[in-house]
Amino acid sequence: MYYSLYNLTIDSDFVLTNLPYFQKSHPANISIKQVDKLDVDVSLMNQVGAYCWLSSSSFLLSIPRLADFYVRDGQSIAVAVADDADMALVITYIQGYMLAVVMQQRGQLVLHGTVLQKNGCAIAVCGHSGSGKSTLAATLLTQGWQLVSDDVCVFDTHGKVLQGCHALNVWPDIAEVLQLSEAEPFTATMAKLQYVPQVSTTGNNGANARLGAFPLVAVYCLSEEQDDDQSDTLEEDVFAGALSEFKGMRKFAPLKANRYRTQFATAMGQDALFMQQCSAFLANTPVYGLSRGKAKLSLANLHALSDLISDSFEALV
Amino acid sequence: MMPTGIFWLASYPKSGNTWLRSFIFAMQNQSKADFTTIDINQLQTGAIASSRHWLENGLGVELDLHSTEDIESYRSDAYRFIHSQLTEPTYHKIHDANHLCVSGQRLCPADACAGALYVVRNPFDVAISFANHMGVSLDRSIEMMGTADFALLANDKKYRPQVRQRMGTWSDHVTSWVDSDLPTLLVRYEDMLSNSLVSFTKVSQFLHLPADETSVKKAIAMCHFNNLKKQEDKHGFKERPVKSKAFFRKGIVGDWQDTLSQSQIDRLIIDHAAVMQRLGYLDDKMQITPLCYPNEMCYPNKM
Repeated sequence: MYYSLYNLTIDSDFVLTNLPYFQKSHPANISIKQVDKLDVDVSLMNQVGAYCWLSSSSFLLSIPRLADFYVRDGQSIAVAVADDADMALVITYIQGYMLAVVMQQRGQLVLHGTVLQKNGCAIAVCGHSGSGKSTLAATLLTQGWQLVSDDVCVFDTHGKVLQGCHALNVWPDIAEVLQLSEAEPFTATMAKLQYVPQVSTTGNNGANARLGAFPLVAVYCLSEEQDDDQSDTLEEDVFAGALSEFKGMRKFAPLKANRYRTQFATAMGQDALFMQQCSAFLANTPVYGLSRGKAKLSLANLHALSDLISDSFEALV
Repeated sequence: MMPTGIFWLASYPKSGNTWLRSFIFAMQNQSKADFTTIDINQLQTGAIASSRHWLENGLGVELDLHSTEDIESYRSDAYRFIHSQLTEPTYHKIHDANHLCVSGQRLCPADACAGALYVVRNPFDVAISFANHMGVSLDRSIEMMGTADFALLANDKKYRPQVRQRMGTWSDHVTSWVDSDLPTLLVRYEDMLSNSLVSFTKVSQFLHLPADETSVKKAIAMCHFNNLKKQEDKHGFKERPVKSKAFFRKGIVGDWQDTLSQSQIDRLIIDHAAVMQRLGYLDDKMQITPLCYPNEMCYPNKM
């Protein structure tokens, strides 16, 4: 089966979800093959994590009892699936993480962010896992925004942001607060739920949507949450959210911090390329820091955070 | 040769771990000319063992996609890899028990660290501080300390910056660390308070920090409980749980005498007699030892 993602054609042995697909294609840009066993020589690669090795053009992720993923030259993904592995989880890895690595290998700028668009203009909400990207995106989706891409923000060579998968992973407590009744478990074990927003039939048929590439109006970087708190609750009735703009050279630090798996990109030797791309694509794009404090994510607080973003967006377009 | 890699700073919560980290931070930084006080909100010792960020980076996986059980089974591999990459000693807080995992190995195995410093405190005093920390009643905190499958952050329906931490009972927790095959130093909170210089010198030697008397004394003075508490009163403390009024509460030995009922004391003794005896909190006739009472002569800090 052939699929379209990030304006590339993918020929996949695996059934991918929430992507446009078709039976026939010109030669595909990317091939995804299921293999019985991977035979990769890791001696020429750097080990960058317990389960992870890479070089400038190859990447291996070997997760016990799940699968080995081998990504090469920005063109191919070979996957050896373990016996009794959760296939939905394997596919989630392929569609998100592995295809993001493919785009990094192709030398494209990739940020760790969730992208939304309104009237053809996009914003990226960036941050580490758990910073609240998807939570904030889910809130904005209930307020007239459209999803472009979850967790991975891929730029084309002209600095536009590319259309990604049409699904968002959200924590169950947030799905409940936002009443996203369609959100449901996608894999047997994953704590997060998958939410596939309905595509609006009006207002989304602009040229940018047809081309699958959107100009980026602003980047919002969520600040890291403190990770030493053992308690199970957050402050009630407080809201400490604040928006502040990074100007001039101060933009680069948050952008670098929110590069997709920034330590991998450094090991791939892409630091200079990243700076060039930021200068070329993001020099004129405002970059904001967004702090949510320790506020409990009640509906009122989520709306207050999304209002900060919507108001600043309206002022820019 | 100087050992490199992970040293675990292990303890049941509310047993002196933050005090210990303040001391380490003071020892690491006291040569700096402008270092005059410890900022409790900037204790830059290593990540806590249960930090999602730390584990995710150490493994290279997307932690959010995996079940609590999967994550637990991956943790030793993360520690082993991080430990192998380090070129100097690093100090990481851990509240998990060093329990046996499904794989048959301990959560923190010997080939994935340089050693473990275990801080223990009289469970009578822990119960009070732990109740305050968790925002629960004394009876409930005593019950938690006696529950074999007790875990911190067991709710997986929402994002937490730390993963689930299996604690076991307070006694299980102690033995899981003290009876492991790791190079281990056991330190009692009560000794840290009443016999500071000796205790903290041992700590320094074990962690390969400077251990000369002047440095140790200076660091002890800097992280005196009253200084840490004063800072929290003035500036707050980011590690304070929402449900508790203050992280640094009393920091004393013997608070239980005025706070626990006889039945609560009895319950703790029934649950933990063997380990309390082993640690010197009960004698061989099951009587509460002087260790559990405030030592007026030595308090607050015998230098």
